[in-house]
Amino acid sequence: MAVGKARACIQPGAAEHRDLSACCRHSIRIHFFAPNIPGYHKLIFELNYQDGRVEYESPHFSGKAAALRLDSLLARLGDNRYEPLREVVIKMLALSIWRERPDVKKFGPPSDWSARRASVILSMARANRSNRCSATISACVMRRSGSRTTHIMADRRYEAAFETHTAMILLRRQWQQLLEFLFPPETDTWLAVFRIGMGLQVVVYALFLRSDWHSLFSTTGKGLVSRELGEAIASFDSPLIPKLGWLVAFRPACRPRRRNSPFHCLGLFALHGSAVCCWDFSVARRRSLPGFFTSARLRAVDCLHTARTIS
Amino acid sequence: MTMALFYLMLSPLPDRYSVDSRLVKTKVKDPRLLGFWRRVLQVHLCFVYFSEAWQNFSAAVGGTGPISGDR
Repeated sequence: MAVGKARACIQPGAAEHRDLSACCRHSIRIHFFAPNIPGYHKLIFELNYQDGRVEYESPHFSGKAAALRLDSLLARLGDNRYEPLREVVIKMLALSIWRERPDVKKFGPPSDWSARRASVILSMARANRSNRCSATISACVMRRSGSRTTHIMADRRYEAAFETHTAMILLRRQWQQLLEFLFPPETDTWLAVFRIGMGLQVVVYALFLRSDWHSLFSTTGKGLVSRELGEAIASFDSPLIPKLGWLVAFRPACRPRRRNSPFHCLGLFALHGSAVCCWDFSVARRRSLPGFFTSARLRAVDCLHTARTIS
Repeated sequence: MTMALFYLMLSPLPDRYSVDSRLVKTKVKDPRLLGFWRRVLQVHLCFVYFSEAWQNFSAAVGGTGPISGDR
């Protein structure tokens, strides 16, 4: 019944505008596709070939559904509110025709048309095979003579879908701008400058603190925090905690006969490196410097010496 | 300096001027990844300077924090 009512309302001169609106609102509510309103816009390209020939071409379609979509698209092309979108759509339509005819030199409007004109410039790279030359595309959007009622109905029918599509385009554009802001292509020059600058700053910082480091970790027994003191405190927790004194006591036993040999220097360097690492960890395990190498849970139950490094 | 060292730790090293990139031929890093870390550092610095300026401003005005609407 609804189908019959909807079909009845598209008969020419069958009803007034008020009845037609009510009928289409009803058909949309019951998810019945709205009546096929004949197109009142037409897009025609004038193809100027290199040998002087001139042809007129319209966008192609295959199938009734595609024809209906193209009809609605052309209907929206006549609207001035969506100029960027109209430009893109006209470019796409012209490009589809241009790919079929690569020898076309220029797209232009028919000379005897005086309708609204949407001129867009399409600059193509010469290297691409399908786009051999640059061309100016002028698309004329003609308004056919039809009933005003039909125009209003068509606008109402496609308004919601078109605004949703425009919102999606804007959203996608905003997302693209966000990605371009977060991921701009850069070289690694800034990283090299940053790394070298930070290295210099750390070195200068350590040099200025040299005297404080000596007074803090002095091995003469006069320093604020000496190695013997730290090892003694660590021994209270557990005698099995590795200490720097073990390495120092182990070094004379493995001393080679030739003291100036490269292996001797290398061995001393490795021994000192491991000793420094152990010293740092033994200092960090002490109660005076908790927090970074110990977990909060184990510190809460007073198990510092068995705490893992990071948790 | 701590913040800068933290971001240096996360940055896609080595760069082309480092010693290990000259000794061992490494692949060129993604330029967008490099740009992303530079942008993160810039945004963080913007927050740092803004918060410092806001703190100084609020201290200069009343010393009780940000200005509310009824003041």
